[in-house]
Amino acid sequence: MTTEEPRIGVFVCKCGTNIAKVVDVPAVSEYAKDLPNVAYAGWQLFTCSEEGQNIIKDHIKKHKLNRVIVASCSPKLHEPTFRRTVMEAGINPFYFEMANIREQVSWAHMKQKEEYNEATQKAKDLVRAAVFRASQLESIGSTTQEVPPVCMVIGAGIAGITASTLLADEGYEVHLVERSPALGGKAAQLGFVFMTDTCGVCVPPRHGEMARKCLSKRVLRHDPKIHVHTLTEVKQFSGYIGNFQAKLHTQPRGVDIDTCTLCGKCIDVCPVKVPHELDLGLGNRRAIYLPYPQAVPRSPVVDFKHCTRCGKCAEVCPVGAIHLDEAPKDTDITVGTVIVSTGFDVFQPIGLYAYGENPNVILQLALARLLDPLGPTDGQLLRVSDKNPPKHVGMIQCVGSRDPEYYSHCSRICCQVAIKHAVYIKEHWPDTDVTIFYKDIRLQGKQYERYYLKAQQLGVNFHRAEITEVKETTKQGLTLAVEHHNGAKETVDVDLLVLSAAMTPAEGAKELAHTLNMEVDLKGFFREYHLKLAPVDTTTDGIYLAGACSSPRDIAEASFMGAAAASHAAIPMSKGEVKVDLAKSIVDETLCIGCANCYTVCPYSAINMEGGVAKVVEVACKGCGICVVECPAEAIQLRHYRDKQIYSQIEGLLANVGAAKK
Amino acid sequence: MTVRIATMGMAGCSGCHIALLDIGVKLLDILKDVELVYSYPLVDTKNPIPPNIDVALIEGSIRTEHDKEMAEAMRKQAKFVIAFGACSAHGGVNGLANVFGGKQGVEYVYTKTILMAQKLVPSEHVPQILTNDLRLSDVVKVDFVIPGCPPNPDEIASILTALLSGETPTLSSKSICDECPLERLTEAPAKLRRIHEIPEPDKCLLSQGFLCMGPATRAGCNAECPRRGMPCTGCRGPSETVWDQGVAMLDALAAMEEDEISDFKLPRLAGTFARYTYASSKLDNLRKGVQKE
Repeated sequence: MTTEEPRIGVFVCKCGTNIAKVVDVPAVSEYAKDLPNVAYAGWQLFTCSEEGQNIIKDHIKKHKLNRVIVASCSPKLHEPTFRRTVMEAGINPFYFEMANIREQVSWAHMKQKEEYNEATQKAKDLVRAAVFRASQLESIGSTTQEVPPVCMVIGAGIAGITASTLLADEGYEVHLVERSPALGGKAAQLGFVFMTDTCGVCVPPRHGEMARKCLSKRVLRHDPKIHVHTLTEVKQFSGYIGNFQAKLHTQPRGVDIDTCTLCGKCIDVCPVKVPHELDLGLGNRRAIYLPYPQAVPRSPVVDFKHCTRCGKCAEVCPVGAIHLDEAPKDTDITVGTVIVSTGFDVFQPIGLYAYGENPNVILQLALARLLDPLGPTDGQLLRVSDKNPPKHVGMIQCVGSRDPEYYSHCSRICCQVAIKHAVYIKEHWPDTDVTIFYKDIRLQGKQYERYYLKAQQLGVNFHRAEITEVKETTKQGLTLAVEHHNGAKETVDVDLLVLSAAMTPAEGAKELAHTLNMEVDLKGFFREYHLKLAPVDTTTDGIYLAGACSSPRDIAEASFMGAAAASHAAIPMSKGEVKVDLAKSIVDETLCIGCANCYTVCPYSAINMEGGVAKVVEVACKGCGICVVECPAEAIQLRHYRDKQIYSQIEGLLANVGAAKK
Repeated sequence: MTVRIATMGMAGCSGCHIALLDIGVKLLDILKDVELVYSYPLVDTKNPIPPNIDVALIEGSIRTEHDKEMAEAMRKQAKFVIAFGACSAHGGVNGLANVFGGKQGVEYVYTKTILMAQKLVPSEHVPQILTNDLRLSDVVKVDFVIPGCPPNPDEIASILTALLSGETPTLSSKSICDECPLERLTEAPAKLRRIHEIPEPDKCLLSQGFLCMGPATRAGCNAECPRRGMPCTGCRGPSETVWDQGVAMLDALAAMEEDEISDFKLPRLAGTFARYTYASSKLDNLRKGVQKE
């Protein structure tokens, strides 16, 4: 804080007629002239205009102003504008103060004409409060934080891989962290995907390329800049943009990726058989197994939970790549930015529509496995109970989605998935009936409608209906009580029932959010900074979102969100630094008692405990002030919102209370 | 030159005078240069108060019209007035009666409690009770405050010695935690606990969930209670920077113990967080505001 006498300039704005219609602007400006420390007061038609800003600059020079107040609209709208104006005139931007006489006065009291006087009085009160506060303001500088060109991407599904490859192409180093043994996420389970009928992670040839290629494989083959960490989770996380510290915990794979030749001998000799999680229990695998035939990294993995450590696999391995005594390891990395792309899981509708009781009631994801040529049935559509081809496949939409009892959101992909499967069944087994029971068909996307028409032409039955009850459930089939949209009731027999269950946040997403100190919404999806205008940003600078971790998304959306996140993460990394103003919390270390309350409540991990006192990391601090409120010793103050600044504002606001009554 | 000292008692328990005696042998050094001209534990005292008093130590809060009159009379004769002890400094435990207001409190004591057989509110030959308990500074200008319930004898001695040698005494601007030897844990307590749940020794009581008012309380007592395993009750009032002792502590807990403290109602809230400062607390101002309306 400087010791110079404050010389305040007050500029009252008419905002065309927005303010002037309700508030007597010249009277407010005249009133301001007599307030303490005010060296100049005047009014303009549009203060934010180029001309208005030049007038401010002229008066700063003419009257040697060192504080500027603009009484106009919300600081959200024009505070940055005027801060720049005063900065150009050589005044610290934090010596600027705003009085909101539009949103809080003229717009709030627009309707009643007789309020004219009272509205003007309120505008005067707000200006007076701003003048009192302006005398207490302090000059605040800024600092820069270096951002190294390294990004950590958590989750290697479509979104995560897309972001990783793009960042690597742009020249940044990427740590791709995936907790399962192979890359690809849910897309790797799908066999073929909606609309293009290609493999989920398949990338079409680009300009100058001859053939399609696999997105997962590309990560390993083309990019020495991408460090892939499979079987790995983020165990600890701290820091701020430019300096995030992560401790990665890697489970042992048991097989050395580099020496393994994938001859498959180890898999053949393994005596342990367990259900394969990829096939949702429809098929089996060994305790040493390849996660899926095209898995990347291309090497088997040992399931140490079920492995009996008999050692047969290690005996037959011709290259000695198997190490059953491998231990978990921790890796510490420092990164400049983070992209979270942890994807989704599928709602388990236990107890709904006989799911869990009747083996012929399955999820769409399980049907995808049945239809996958490389799946447990080699691509044959078979009933789960007796391995016979079904005659009538029923599909129920919105199971758990758009249902206040479970998830109120639309899961976005279920209509596409059901139609994709129905078309595939009709094309390969035309005699099999397929009926889709839906609430609404929601297909928005380029060329999605074409696929829908195709399904109709192939004779898929679409019923807008509700399944009120499963009347009978046997190994041969189920009888469904159906209530159509028009009120008609009937019963329908199906012998394979497929449920389009809701998309839910990935298992462990909440724990990860806790580790990263990020916000999740009520259902556990990661929360974006702004739904429309900043969907990949988060409240923590330097952490971005991609894919279905923040809301249900289809593959196309995951793909372009991955690209968007990569582009956002590249901004601070390409500049190499971020500029941070210091209007942040500041600790008086002589008063701090080291209770760590502030450390506990800080939503941005911006406070560290060092040597028994709290230290604010100014780059990470957002200036929210929670620490100020909870500090029992009142040892923390927030610059620009210090107690004395707020009290003087309140004092200014109330200074005229007695006078107004008289 | 001898210094003329007076001591006086208002609504209080005389505990502060006992603390004065607790200075022990050192008191003899102090008394060498002192003439005690007015002191109710020693001699029968009445108005008028003798003139030309250098230092007046006033114990107790202002509870009746008589207290108020005596305080004003003392102020006229004394050059330097010290609010002596928690009641005088911040309103003290007496101030908790403000939760109910003066009249209601008196009625309750004289008609509802078992000991009062006659069930009559006394009205003759007794001074009128004030609506609210007041601290000394609400009535007269106070030059210095010695906080504590009771004040720490060592601190009283050092303050009096400083005054006698013509220096300006000071109080610590820090909080109790600054003097407390217990080990601080850097994690928030999972839930609030009560003292019969026996704290672990040598570890910060607040970190263990025991409501210790130390963080918001002025240092100077050498953290005598917490170092013996008793949570600080906040008798020394708010530390230098703390705006309001009870509110500061409540804020600190509100940030982490939502379920635990949401059940607190005003009387319990006042007795726990503003046990000695309710009369001067912002909580009381809120209540007064409500009453006026």
